Amino acid sequence: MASEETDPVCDDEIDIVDVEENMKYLKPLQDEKERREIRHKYRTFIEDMERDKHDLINPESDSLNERLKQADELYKPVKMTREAALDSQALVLIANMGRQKAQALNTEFVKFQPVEFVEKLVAKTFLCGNVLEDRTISTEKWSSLGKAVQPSFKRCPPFRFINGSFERGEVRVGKERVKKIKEKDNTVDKATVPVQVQRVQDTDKMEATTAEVERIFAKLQECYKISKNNPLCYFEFVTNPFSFGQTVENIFYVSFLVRDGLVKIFLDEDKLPVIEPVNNKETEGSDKSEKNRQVIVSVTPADWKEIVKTFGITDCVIPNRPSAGVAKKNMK
Amino acid sequence: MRRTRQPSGKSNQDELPSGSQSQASQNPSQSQATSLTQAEKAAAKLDQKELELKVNDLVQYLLIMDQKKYPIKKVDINKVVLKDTSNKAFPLVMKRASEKLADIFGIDVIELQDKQKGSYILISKYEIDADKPNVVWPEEDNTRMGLLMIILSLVFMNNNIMQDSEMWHTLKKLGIDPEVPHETFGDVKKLITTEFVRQGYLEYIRQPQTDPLVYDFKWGQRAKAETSKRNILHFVSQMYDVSDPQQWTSQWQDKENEEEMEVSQANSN
Repeated sequence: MASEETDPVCDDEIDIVDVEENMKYLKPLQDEKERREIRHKYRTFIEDMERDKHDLINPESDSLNERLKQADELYKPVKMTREAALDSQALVLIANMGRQKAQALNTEFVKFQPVEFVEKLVAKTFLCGNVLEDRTISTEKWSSLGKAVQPSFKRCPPFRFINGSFERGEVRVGKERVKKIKEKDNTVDKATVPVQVQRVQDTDKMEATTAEVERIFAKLQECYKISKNNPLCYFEFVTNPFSFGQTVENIFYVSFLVRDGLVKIFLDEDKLPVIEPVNNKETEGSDKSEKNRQVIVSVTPADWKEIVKTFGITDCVIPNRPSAGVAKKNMK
Repeated sequence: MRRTRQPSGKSNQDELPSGSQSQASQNPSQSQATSLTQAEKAAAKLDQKELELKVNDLVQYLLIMDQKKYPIKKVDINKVVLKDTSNKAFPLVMKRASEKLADIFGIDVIELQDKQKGSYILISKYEIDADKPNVVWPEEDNTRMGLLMIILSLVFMNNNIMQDSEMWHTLKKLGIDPEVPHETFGDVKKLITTEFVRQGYLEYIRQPQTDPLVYDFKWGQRAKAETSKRNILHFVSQMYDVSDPQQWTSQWQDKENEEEMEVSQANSN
């Protein structure tokens, strides 16, 4: 029975008398116009406070206290929650400002002035007594300040591996890598500027080969002079005891020389191939018949090893080239 | 206040606040962080070798993750290091890992509190001797430390809090402008309000209910762990050619209070 009166909402049958009772709580106790006025006053009050914030925070002035009194006055006619909420908003604002005012309060004998501190800092550390015309502080100066200051911090140095991913091999390997990458760049360019790059690539290759060939020719002439114009043993000349690949390349380049008629290869009395630079003036006539002879030479790694052993080749006549093939062979 | 009603033999009941009236729950520990003893139980399920591996993994993980000086999150540790292993073993694994770091590397592992709770930072146990510095830091590091030192000094001397407007106004005297890209620091505003905050050196707190937005600067947890008010006071006094830092009365008092607290904490441990 008692529950019907105290908890009318739950009841299925709503007594008319109860409804009127409830409506009493919902009906505003105040005139709407009055309430609007109060709310307006509060809002103005809050705006004014925010506008005058800096003055209110200043510990020298007492205006915050006055505002608090004002807020008190404003609260007197308040009867409904909406206005009360505005009042609490105003009070929170006053409280915050009070906090800031307290913080700004200074009871120091010697007051800390941030700007003064910084100026002294600049004079001492950055300028070191000298007057700088240009007021910017360089990175070095920042760095030296930081260095001086580091001992004040118990910082743990970040963990780094000492050896990065390093490759075995000499600097030579690095150079090859660079070369390889450059070639890759070329192929990328090919996609965007096909015609141009193709031409460049061709000439590049040609130039490389031609340069090599010329170098070998020069070497041959040098050796020929040293051997007092005697033909050199072919195998001794082309074989590179350190690298099979280079040996093959040497044979390749020498064949260019033969093709161009700068060099001739023939068998000597021991039936061993010998090589000799050609003097154009003397042997112009016989050149034609020599040129037309084509020979295919094949050499396998096993052959190469045999040659090195048989002829006792300990060092390469044609200097070793830093080319892609070498490192691999060495690694194997 | 022992509760005799607890059926399970877990000793962590001591850690429950004595005021709580809960009697029914069989596993009170689940509502709080797992205690060391329960973790030890969980860890006992792992065989010793596996545990050792996890501990070593955690040591490596902490060292590597520390590179950027961002706090290392417990969540990440559970995900990366513990993986299949029960997360309950975390406290034990962390404890062992911290011991290793302390013994071998001279590094303390400190858990952050409040907003950054559940994350860890690494601090060196030992201070570097100013006369014989044995660590050489990269330039970027040095420049940042220089700037940080100034900011921490300003905040401390200003009663441990400084409004951002005043901070920027003061930093302008050093050629630092939040709106202008700096030659050394780049985006200074980002560095100070984001990077330093993320690393735990500063706190950048918004003042409630202001328009336009106003922020306050405070010391961050890492700053409190890595340096001390004494150091900063010493630095500031040097700038003023003052041989007696005591003349900064309130700051001196502040430092004294902090040191007293540290001593009492150390004694109670």
